[in-house]
Amino acid sequence: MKEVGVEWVNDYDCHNSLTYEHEDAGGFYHELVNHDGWVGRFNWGDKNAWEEDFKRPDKGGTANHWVDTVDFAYFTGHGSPFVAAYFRCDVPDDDRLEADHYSGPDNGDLRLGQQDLEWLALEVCSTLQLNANKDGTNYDVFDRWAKAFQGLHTICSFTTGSMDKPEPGKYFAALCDGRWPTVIYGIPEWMFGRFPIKVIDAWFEMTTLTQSGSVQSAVMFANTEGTDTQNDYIWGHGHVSKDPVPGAANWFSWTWISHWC
Amino acid sequence: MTQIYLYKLKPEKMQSDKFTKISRELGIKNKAVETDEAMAVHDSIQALAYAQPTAKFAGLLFYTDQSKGTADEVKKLIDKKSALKWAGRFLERFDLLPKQSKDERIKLNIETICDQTQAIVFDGKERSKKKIKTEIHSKITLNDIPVEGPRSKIRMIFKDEAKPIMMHLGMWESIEIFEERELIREHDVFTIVKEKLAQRHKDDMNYDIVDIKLAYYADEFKGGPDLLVPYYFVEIEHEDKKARAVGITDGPKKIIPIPAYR
Repeated sequence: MKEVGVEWVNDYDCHNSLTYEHEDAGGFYHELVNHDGWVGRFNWGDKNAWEEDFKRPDKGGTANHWVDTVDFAYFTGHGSPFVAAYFRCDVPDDDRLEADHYSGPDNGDLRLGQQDLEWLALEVCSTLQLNANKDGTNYDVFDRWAKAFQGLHTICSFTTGSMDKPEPGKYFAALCDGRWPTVIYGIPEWMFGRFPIKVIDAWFEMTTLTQSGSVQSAVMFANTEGTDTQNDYIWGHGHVSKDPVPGAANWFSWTWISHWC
Repeated sequence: MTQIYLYKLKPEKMQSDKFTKISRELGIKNKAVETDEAMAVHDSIQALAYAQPTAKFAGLLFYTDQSKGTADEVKKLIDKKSALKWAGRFLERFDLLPKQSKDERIKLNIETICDQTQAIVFDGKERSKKKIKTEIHSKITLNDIPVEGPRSKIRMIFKDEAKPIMMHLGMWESIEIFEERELIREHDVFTIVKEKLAQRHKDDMNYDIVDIKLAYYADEFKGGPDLLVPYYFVEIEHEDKKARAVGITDGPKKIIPIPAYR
């Protein structure tokens, strides 16, 4: 069974508000659930979008009940180099998903893929920025996010600021499930069928379709012996790599690639 | 008072035989499907689509070859010179770039630039760089003002062959002046942003305007005349007090497009 979950925040109480995130995340969810046979597990927004849904259980989170029970999770709202996602301040557990080194070298909130999650799209600003500074020390994207990969295949996000738009989720999902000729070009599906695109290629093309050329998107993916996550399609549309599980072989690697939109 | 032109875009009405020639050049032999809004063709690994005038991505030619992914490692990437040569020949042969206007008030400049992008790989101990893609991208200006947006850019991604695996050509056939309007001064944009933000957040929330760029933006076509109009793209960074307390100065950012004319 292929499962999707999305969360989004427009109405921030302690950060600046956004406008189109419900449509952005909703578009992703709607496309996969209504046009590609995915089971929609959750679509939580504003006060119902909780940080603990993404957070590892040993830090008090409930990722094992929410984000790590689906194959593809999509968040849209605010982010920053040390914060994968900002939430409202009046929700459990707090308002931010911390990177490692935010409050301690191993204190990051994300440890994903231990159960189910393959792909995490963070339609937020700057989370995959290559280098980021804390108190004069540089922590690169691997320092901050490598430990999030506990079976997780890929994180898709941005290295720079990006525009708040309604379309990214819908287009990204349609590029992944192959329905882009219908969604983007208006060609009836019965005339052309579908042409699925690999998850990473779909992310890069979606960002080209929705952002200006001064915005940079990026992906980070993990691999180990016998995996090739860079070639993933979504379930039902082509090859999906085995999960890259840390410690399962004598090597493990993370790759970061950027793309000017 | 500075004036600025608003332009009207005229995307190309693609003819079937031209689309077929393009698809053959890319190695797709199947017959294309055609509607009022678009043309498209695919085989088992490649797809090509074009959005006709009045479609939301009017003028966009998109191609993908899924035999290789953008993130796939290849033994040897195609060099920049060969990629530029292929791109130049392709664009010229199929007449895919805008025609130069006879109107002397329109100074259009399109430059194609080629780079090799490096992936960064971390093995748990060391970081290493690997060339992962040879990319063509465009730098387009109209009367020295940058032109951006999905329907005004050239993007090509090459791997180890002299043919791209991804191509996004958002282009128009011709352009004309629609009208001349007053350009809002950059200085006034600060006031507009302040007013906008004052309505949306609490008084104790500090922010910085980190960047302001003036650019034309060829967005999705949403009906009416197909206009190319200028915006100020204002990047705002809000202070994150909690992060600042632990020594992190980065806060959440946002890019706001503000119309640059009145």
